[in-house]
Amino acid sequence: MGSHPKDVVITDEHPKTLLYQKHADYIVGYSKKKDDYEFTMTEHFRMSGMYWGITALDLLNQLDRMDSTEILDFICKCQDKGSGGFSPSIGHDAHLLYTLSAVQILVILEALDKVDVEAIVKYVAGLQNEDGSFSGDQWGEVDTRFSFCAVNTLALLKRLDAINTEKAVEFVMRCQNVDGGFGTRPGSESHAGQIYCCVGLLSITGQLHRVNGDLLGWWLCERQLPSGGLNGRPEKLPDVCYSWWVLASLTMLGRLHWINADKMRVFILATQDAETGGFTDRPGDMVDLYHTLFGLAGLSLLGESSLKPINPVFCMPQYVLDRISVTVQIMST
Amino acid sequence: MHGRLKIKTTAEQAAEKQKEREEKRKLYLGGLTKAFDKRSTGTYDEEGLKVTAQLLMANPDAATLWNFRREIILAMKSDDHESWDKLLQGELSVVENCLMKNHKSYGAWHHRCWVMENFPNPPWDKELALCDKYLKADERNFHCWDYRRFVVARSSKQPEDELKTSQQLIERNLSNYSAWHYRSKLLPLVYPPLPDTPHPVPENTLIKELQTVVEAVFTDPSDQSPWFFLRWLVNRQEKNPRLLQTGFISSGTKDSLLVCVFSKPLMQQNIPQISVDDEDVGNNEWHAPDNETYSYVWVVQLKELSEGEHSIAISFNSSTKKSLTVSPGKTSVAWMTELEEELTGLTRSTLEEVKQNCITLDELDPGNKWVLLTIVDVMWALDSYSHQAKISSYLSQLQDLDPLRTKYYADMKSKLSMETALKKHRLTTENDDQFKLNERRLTRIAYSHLLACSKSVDLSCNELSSIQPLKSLVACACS
Repeated sequence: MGSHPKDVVITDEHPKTLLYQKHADYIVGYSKKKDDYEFTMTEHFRMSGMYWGITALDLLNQLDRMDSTEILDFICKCQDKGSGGFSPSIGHDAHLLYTLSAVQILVILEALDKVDVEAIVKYVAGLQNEDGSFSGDQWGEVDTRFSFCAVNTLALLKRLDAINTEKAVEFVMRCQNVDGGFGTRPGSESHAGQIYCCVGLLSITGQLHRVNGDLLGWWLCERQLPSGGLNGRPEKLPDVCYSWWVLASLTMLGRLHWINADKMRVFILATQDAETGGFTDRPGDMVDLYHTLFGLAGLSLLGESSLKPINPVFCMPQYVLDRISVTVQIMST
Repeated sequence: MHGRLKIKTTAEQAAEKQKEREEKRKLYLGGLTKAFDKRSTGTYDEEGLKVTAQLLMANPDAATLWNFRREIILAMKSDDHESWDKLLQGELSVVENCLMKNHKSYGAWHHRCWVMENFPNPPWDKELALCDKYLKADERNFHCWDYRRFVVARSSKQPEDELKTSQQLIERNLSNYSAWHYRSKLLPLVYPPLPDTPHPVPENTLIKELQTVVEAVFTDPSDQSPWFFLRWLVNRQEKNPRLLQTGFISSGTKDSLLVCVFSKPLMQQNIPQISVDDEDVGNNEWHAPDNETYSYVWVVQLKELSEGEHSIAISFNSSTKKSLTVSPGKTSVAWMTELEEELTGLTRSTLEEVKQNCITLDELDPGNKWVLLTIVDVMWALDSYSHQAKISSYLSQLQDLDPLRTKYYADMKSKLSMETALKKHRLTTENDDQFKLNERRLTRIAYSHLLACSKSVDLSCNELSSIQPLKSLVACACS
């Protein structure tokens, strides 16, 4: 049996229990350190950073610690008057990535009435290409991530009628590979993050029957390494964000039990930073909001009872989706 | 944000670092303000290019700065070929500097695509060399692989040439999953498969590839990547749904259902034309058990039939027709075709060879999970029915060897058990509407659609955790 040179070792020094309060404090603290180098250098994806933090805080049951007036004020300023899309931060350009993040926050905070919804719908629909794919913005970069952003945004706004979903699905299916997975564009290699986006799109549009659940489910469960962590592609290092991309995809395919949940949990818990709070990609690295959300979201999918249940497709608390009556398709084994 | 190791520092070092970062932050913010000011006043000049280049070197994923650069470039565009070419060349250098900072920057790679599409005579060959260079540094960089596909599609490179490239990369490192993936995409382009065959490439190509990959796994059986490729070659890919079963579920002249079970879910409009006593069943009369749009199982309630024999005719296309004779009050179920599509003699003998090779490899290097997985696949592809006991025992071995995925193997055992039960049912019984699946240690109900026509299904004493698939049990719901 081959060894696993690309894995990590978890020792007794790594955290073993969920440092619930530390994480909430880390997120609240992060939003207050606006003069930090870190804060400045992440401005170009601020809107997504806010979504990560807000969702994580909601999972931790402490959403009320955020200043929602300040947040909503910021989001409103980020809607581009011309295109209708949202930018990551003031002065930056609108993009589908940040339009989704903005809509997710607005839905969580029940504040869609604060923005021009019709303009968002028009912006998203305008980015669909002839072949069904989506460009991220007017500069034409095509990626299945953007297809997911578009469909996800419109599903939350209940306006999927504004695009050609059949063509959107056809394009995603052109990105499927012989291993059952999906890549960025037709011809691209399978990657767990893109798989999450494509399977999520198929779940929202009720087209999961197009996926071979046994084939893709096997590829996904093969991502688990002896440490318990998951990688995103064969023969790569584990990373806590894949505990979301892979676990959520397996949940949609009805095959979450194909990985070892106990070992997975040990790995996720080991990526917590006991000093600062927050999660890292791998034990011993630096924390950030992105890995903090996906670490918590992964634990929630595994049934961590101190966290709110999460929806595997939208990566938002389930109660939020229930409130707006948005449902997803889940495959049976 | 990935792979940043946390380093323990003294208070003094931390203060030093803090000072350094504060300076960098001020510099970055100053540049950003300058760039945004220029943009808001519509100033598209050399200085704007310089400022954004410096900022992007520090932060290659700041998309808005790339957008601003593109606006400047377009504003500076002149009819003079030479100066336009020079401007674009300059952009390629900026991108390369940014790639040196972060070779996985989406923004930098996309900008390169944009620049190349603007060249009057794009230097594609140089770009191929750049791909070679970056793939040498990181053979799994999917950004660079995507860029390579972008370049190849626009250059004079043929899929045959790229197939050779994939071969070279594989020979350099068998563990290069990206190169194997590339190969799986190129093979069907260079060797298009025949229509309606379950294989991704023509038979002679398939056999040649199988031989090559078996050689590779013999070289180093612990490399995972070739095994994924081998699994693909061995597995059949069904392209179109086939009608597997037709059931006539009847309790009398007034109460008869016609059930069709397909190998893949399909929509109502794609159900083949079916007639009862020469009268066509309208497409919109069919319904799916759970009202799903796509379903394996489609059911129609037939209108009152007279006593005696009736004929049901199914036409898949103009050339293929099947018919069956039914009588009201008497339930009958007919298999229309095998569960799987048939293998040709040649493929069969090649798979036998792969099986033998893997069995040898298992003797030489016992306990290699990939060898065992492949034996399971090959035996399954050859004939799961006659290999049932062996496959099941290999799956048990895999459960011991690979405990992380023990539930996957358990589910595959259940699938195997169901498949063999269905085959046995097809081979040995006719019109037996009782299906016994008890005491089989089933953890899942695979092929549940093929239970649709069974009036009674015994699933007692198993290890099931969900009965969700049972929604397609149409006949069980009939009195």
